[in-house]
Amino acid sequence: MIAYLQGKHKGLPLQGGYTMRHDLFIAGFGGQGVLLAGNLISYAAILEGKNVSFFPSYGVEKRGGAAMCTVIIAEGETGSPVIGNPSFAIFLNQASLDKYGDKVKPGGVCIVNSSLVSTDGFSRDDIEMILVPMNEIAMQLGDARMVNMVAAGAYAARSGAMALSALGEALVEVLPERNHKFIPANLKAMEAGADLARP
Amino acid sequence: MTKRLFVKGNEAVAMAAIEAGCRYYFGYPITPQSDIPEYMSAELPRLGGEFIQAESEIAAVNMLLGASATGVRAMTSSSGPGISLKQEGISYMAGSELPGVIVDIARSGPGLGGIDASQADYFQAVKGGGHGGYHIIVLAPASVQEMYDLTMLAFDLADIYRMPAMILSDSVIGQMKEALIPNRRPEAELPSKEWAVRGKGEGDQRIVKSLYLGDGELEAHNWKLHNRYCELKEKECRWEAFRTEDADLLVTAFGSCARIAKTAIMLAREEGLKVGLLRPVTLFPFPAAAYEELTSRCKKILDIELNAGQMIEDVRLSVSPDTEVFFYGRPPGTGSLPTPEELLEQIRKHY
Repeated sequence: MIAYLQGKHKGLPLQGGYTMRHDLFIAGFGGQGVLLAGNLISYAAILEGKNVSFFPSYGVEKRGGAAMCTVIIAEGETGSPVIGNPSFAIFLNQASLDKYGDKVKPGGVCIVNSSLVSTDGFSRDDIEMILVPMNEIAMQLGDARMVNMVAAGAYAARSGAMALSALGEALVEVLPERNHKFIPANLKAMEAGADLARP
Repeated sequence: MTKRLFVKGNEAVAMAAIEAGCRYYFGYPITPQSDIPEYMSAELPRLGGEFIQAESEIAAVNMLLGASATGVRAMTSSSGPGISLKQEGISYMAGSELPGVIVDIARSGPGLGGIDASQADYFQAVKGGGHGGYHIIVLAPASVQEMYDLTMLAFDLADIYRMPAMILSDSVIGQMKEALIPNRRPEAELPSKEWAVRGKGEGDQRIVKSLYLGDGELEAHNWKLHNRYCELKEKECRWEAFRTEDADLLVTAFGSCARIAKTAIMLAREEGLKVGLLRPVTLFPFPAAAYEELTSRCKKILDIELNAGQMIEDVRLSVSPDTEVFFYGRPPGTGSLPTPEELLEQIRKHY
């Protein structure tokens, strides 16, 4: 018999119970950086000492196809890595809003990439819509591929799940060394997103 | 505090195997577990170990058998179709009393099925998937940290009880990323492997085999294995009891499903429903005594699985008399992963 991990396990202590728990659903098409944004937000929360579950949609993935991930941030246990009705959602393309917009929890928040997404046919008055022209912002700052950074900055600012500076620190950890020269531009993209989403 | 890493469940398994002293890995790629061989292929050569991408899963499991017979720590990993192919080798390892770790990041079946999360290989894992009436140790992690800690435990238990140990997980736990504290290998008192073959040289001849033809020989061998399974049931059961103290309804689930159920339980608690979770960590040995004890007070238990009902048979055999056992499950496939909200409805229904 070995002593460790013996018998009855206790779960992690539930500090604050269910109160400090952020859940976020991000969707777009492959190539928009959905997974990198999720990774970055997760890593930032870990740097701030929180627990995180990052769950990518796992299927037959390809560039241009649908890409999704869920991020759960909690002081105690993160619980389910999947969520049916997210309280926060980031929609980077039209298809994701059309498919998942109705699932957002009443009282929840949608951050929408208004460069590519029209909200004309979308009528819900029980959620907050934050429209951020992410492609335009990213292009003005030099590279359309920074759409996900604008989105991450907007999320941090509106949700308060983490400090914007933690996202910046996470960038250093998540990006490979060879891409560190792009960090200043990415930080600007995050700040631009944050400026448009602050409550 | 050690710096927390941010890694996938599959990577945590590979990291833990290396920390546990495993230097030999044999496998064949299959989704959703290929991160494990990828990691091992990068790390093992520079540690003086050996990574072999075998020509098939059958070859890989027999390489595991061979390596284990020499006394080293070794591992293989696969998913559904590959684990089926490995059953012959696992049966031979069980018969030959060889340790070794087999990781099953289960996918949906039967046949080629799909790559989504599944718990439909519960029977195959815990009831002895090959021929001959054996068991293996089966551990069911529910987090990235447990993927790490239970992999190290699997190596120790396998060595102590001289039998294969399996990590049974799926693409939810294997593919998700969480914070990980890369714990050091725990202290454990391990028996010396005086049975290991070591080539022609000094000393007595040692034979590793599963063939016993003498009168009464095989029966005695099987009773010895049986007694070892009984010892495991007595000493090595592990489970998590969460908010069970005052529960009027127990939910039971393992692995990924237990994670989803836990959030459903928290939502139920917010509504004032007294619900708790009993999560088996060891699927073999099954923590029957924990079920018996908890259901001696709480007479309703809801079993939730990512299949059409497998573990429920062990639950029914373990609960105290007059316990009502309910079931909710969905056979695996794209889009079949239940949400916490969906499980909350089931909790309300049976509360």
